[in-house]
Amino acid sequence: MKPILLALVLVLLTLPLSTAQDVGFAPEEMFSFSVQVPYGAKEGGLAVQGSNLSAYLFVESFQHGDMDVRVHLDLPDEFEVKDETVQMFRLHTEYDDWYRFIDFHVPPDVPCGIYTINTTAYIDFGDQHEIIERKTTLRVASKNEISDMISIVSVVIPSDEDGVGDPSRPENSIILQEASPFINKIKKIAGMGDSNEDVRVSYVGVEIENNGDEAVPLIVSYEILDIKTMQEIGEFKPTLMGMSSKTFSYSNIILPARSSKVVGLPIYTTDSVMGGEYLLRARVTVTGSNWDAATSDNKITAISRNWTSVVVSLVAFFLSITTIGIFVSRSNEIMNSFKTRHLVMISLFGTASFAAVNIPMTFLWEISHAVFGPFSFLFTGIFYEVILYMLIVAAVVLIPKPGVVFLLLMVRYLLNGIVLGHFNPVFLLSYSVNAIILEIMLYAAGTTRGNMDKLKTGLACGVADAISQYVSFSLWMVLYRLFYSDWYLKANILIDGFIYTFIGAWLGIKLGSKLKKVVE
Amino acid sequence: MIRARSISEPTIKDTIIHRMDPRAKIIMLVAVSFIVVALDNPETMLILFLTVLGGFIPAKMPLIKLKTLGFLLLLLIWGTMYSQALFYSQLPRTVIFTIISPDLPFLGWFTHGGLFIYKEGIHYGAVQALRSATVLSLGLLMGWTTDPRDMLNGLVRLKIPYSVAFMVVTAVRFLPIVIAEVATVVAVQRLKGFKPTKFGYGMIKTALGILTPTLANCVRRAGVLAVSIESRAFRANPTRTYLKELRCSNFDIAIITITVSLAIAIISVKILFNLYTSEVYYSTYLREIYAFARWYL
Amino acid sequence: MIVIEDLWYTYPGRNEPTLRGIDLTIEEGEFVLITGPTGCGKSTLLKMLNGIIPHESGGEMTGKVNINDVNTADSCMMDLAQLTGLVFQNPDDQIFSTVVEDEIAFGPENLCFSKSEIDRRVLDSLEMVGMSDHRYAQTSKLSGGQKQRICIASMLAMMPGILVLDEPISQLDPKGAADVMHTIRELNRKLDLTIVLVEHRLHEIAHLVDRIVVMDEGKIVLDAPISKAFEHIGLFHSLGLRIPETVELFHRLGYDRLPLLVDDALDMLGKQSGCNTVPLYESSDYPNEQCNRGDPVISITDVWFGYEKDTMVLKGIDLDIHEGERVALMGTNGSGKSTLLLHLSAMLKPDKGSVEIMGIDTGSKGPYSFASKVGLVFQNPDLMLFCDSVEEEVRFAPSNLGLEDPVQMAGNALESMSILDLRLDPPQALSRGQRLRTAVASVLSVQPKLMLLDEPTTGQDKLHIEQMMEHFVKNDNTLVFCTHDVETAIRYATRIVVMNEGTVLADGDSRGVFKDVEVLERASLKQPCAMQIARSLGLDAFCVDELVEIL
Repeated sequence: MKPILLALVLVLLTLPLSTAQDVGFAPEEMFSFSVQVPYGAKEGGLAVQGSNLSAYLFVESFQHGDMDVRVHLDLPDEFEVKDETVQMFRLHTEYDDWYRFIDFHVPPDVPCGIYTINTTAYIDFGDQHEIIERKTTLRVASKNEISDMISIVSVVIPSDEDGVGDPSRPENSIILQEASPFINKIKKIAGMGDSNEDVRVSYVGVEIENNGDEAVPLIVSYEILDIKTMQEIGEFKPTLMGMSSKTFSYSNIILPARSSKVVGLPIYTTDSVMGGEYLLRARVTVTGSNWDAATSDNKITAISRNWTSVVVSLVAFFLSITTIGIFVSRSNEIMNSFKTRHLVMISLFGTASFAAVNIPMTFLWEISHAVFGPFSFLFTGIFYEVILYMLIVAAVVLIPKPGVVFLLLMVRYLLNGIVLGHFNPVFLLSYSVNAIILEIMLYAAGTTRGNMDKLKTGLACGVADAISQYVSFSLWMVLYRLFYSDWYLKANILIDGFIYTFIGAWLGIKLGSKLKKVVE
Repeated sequence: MIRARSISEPTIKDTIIHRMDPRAKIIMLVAVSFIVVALDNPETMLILFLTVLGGFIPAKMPLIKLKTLGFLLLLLIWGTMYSQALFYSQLPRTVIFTIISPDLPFLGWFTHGGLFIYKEGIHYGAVQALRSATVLSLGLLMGWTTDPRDMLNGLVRLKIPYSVAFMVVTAVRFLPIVIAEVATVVAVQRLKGFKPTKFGYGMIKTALGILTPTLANCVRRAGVLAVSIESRAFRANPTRTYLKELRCSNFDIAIITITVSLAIAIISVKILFNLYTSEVYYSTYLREIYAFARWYL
Repeated sequence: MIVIEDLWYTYPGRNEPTLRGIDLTIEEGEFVLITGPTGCGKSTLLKMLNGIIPHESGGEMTGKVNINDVNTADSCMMDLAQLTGLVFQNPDDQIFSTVVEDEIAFGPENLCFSKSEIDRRVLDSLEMVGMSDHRYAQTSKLSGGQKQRICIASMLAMMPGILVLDEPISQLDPKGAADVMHTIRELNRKLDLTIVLVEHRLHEIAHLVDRIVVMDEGKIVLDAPISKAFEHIGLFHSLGLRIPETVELFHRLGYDRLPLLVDDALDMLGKQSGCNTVPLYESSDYPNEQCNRGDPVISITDVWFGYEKDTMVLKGIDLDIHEGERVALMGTNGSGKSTLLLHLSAMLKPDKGSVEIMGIDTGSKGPYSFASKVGLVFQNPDLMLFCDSVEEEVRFAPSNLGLEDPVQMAGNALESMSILDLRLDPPQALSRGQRLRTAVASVLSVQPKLMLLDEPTTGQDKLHIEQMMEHFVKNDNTLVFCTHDVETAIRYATRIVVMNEGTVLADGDSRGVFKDVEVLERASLKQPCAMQIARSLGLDAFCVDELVEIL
């Protein structure tokens, strides 16, 4: 069986070779000749009245040796031809080729209809003389006809390269890479810049529909305008590698009859683009004309944000270094202002917070992530916010003094380090920032000055924790290069950071006053 | 079974890791934490992580600890991969699964257009998880091979104020007691027919129920302990002496030197490289360093 | 030397003074016991001795307290600390280190002694309390008695002239208590340390002290050398203080001299101890007339259990408990009593064998299923109180279990524990005895068929225990309780189960079990003095009453 199969394969393989040899010097085998009117239209073309178009001629020799060629392009008389329609040239060797664009103008008053264009090539190759003809058509349509055919179905911002919407980002917005060149530099030096070296920030997806019965050559582009003056903003079309991005932020397509297509166009920016609202105008023109066959205006918002996480991280870093520095250098003074009983109580509260929050969370944190996915913060927040703040605020109620929160969180951090080995600098930063902000807020609210107002304390803790959450997310994003989407940050800050903490603090006052009776 | 105790209790043995000076351990941990933040190259991060894991072999950790470590690492890596699969924000990215469709009422709006799992995010998450995994493993190795008391001694010698160290010793000492008390309170509530697992208000009520007696005990205990401590002249003098002395062995000094120089070297090279890529400073003499940073760090 | 003159003290926020004109002088090297009923002010007096009052507590103090000619009011707590060492009731509340050595070295380190001096003091102190082998031990691994001795050692390392102890043995099992008391006695004798001890378990320690000071309502009502103190036996009775059985016996027999120890008593009766032993019962022979009194409530068959796979805590327990029985579980710490108790409430499930509670096997059920049938009072009742008011606390279980009329049930429970007047108070803010009663009431409110008590006597006043137990006796509750207290067991239990290393060593009525000296010894229990005397005299008497009758 096998040898037969092998023979069959061999026969099949040799088949094309043998047929090629049989035909020999047929004209079509001698050279290739093609015509596109306008350029890009493989079959019948389409033009709108008043277009400037080019006919494209292409000849390629398949023979070794000189080949003299004369090409006649016969355009309808109604068209205004701007170049020579007869071209002569010589091809010297196999695969030598020649092409030319012959520009012509379709006047606005040319009657609509289908025009036939004949092209003839005369070839002399040694003793052989051949004539080859090509026939194409060009349909000239009125603006109204085109307008009825072509429409923009939708504009999606931001999208991916293929123009497919990116639903995880806010609609109709582009996120600017950086707003400040200074920060940009710092970010790059610190190794926290984005890996994308260019300044492309996003894509816009434009969906175009062709209702007509023939394919239409189109150019899809966009411009970003000032929303008030309607002037184009040049910063969105910056010069990249010596080229204006105008030259590559458009797309040339041929839209087949009765079809639609989504085109993705890159949006570029420079560092000097400001955040704010702009108008993005998507444009579709028929090839050869400047006239917009269809446009679509979309209000977009440019958001600048990333640099803030870097600044926040830096501020957090210096803030905590300073605080820890001050604490270590003046620790005796600070610690001596507390009674021994208070120190012991704080450390026992630290133990309790560790036992009630950190230990269960070591397991539950990741498990709840696996179970609840991105909504696990609704569960973990009960421990990290409600219970923790119950403890913190209860401690403050028992010992209404500034510094209690700081000591409590310090004990918790060190316990975490000693027992679980979590001497992580990110934890250190977020714990200390949390402590500092909370101390400030509780002092402002009067809680650490002995004024136990449930509402004020709850608000103070809520705001403090919301800020701390934001800071610690920034730290994770910057130091551990992790991504979090906007809604996730907002939900965490609002629900965990504020609402849960508020509840925790509220209950903490209640718990604290119960415990106070134990002391008495 | 993995219990809270298997995470929190050290296993005291006599191995080269156990004998390390706590200061060396702490310094090493901090140095590695910095290295981990500086590194970007996945292969190097993996090598560092595996090196840290290798440390568990000479430490002769019992099986339960290794199981605990494995369990925690799995959870951590899974968690990071999962979150990054959701939140990955670089391009290109490919949706492989839709969790919340943008059309879904409320949640679609709430999540700003749905939630998707991105293929590239999973990979990215796995690489980034190596950072946390390295620090976690090293931390646990240090924690499990060091008596908390030695760890504290180390901290005190590293200039942590004594009163702070005292607070932490107290916290460590009472940890098992407080955990046992929490367990008792939970048992009491169950015996009184209370189901403490209801989500939402039920959980908060449970928390209050557990914290009230536990903390009341803490408050009572604090009074007694404080008097007991003060009657032993706690803070009677601004300074104090120590019975136990720590001595760094040559091995400790070598470890400190190696990890600290490594951290400094990696961070410096990384900064030089970033200065170059951000077009701030470039020197032809440093070309090999740039190449090294690009390929290995 | 301690000199207290006309000392009056009122706590902040109170109207009535707690101490009313105390005059007391304690000479160097004396061993003084301060006793009195709860609330008599004895603990407050102790706080005077190292300056907690007035330095920490505030309040109003008049009169003076001089320690070695230093007025406590003029001195600071740090200085006073070096004159007086303080040891409290619960060793767990005093030890803050994880390792014994650190705990002892803490004081000398704070006083900035040299390394060699600290080392010497650690060694010496540990030796003085007989704990030299435990220098590097984990504090959490020690027994209660050992921990308390570590607390004493940590004070000794400061080399104080006076050691003040506030109920140091009330939380300990009999063996631990004996070790600690022995240590204290030795310190007093060998180092000539002045010892001031507050304790209400006076019957256990009276023979060790030189002098007894009895307080009541903030005043000293008796201050006498131990040899004369019991001449005022009526006073002790009227204050509800438990006196040594030998004293009680000889007082009832009309003797003038009242012996404190069994040996002295026997001397006076002209007998040598241990010479005439009553024949032992065989384990299975214990008379147990209660056995078939009612339906079995608990039925335990061959139960094995271990917290860790390789160490079994319960090793093949077989036990039936019938309705109306009051069973005392006795034995040393670690004998498996508490573990068994947790099986009876379905909190733990046996690894092997079965536990049936009222005919239902616990194997497939959670404790929730038995919540309305079994009530468990934990060793530390404080951990059972988590609501905002006493009433809420007591109503918690019946409301949760969806029982009919929880308000009425709570009311009944409150009344039975006589805490109706406290019903609006926050439970955690009550006194210790009140907290115990609240905890018991919170369990009683569902009217469980079976009550379980884990060491109810630990750290509690005799009076509180009595009130509680009387209630159970009166209501004919089925009761299982763990205890170290022989007298409570004898007085209230209808049946005694002695456990040792996870097995049942003896099971029978108290009369039978307490006659078996060998079993008692293995369980670190001691016969009551009356029984010891009776045994030596070859008599079959069980308590003082019987002995008096026979003699």
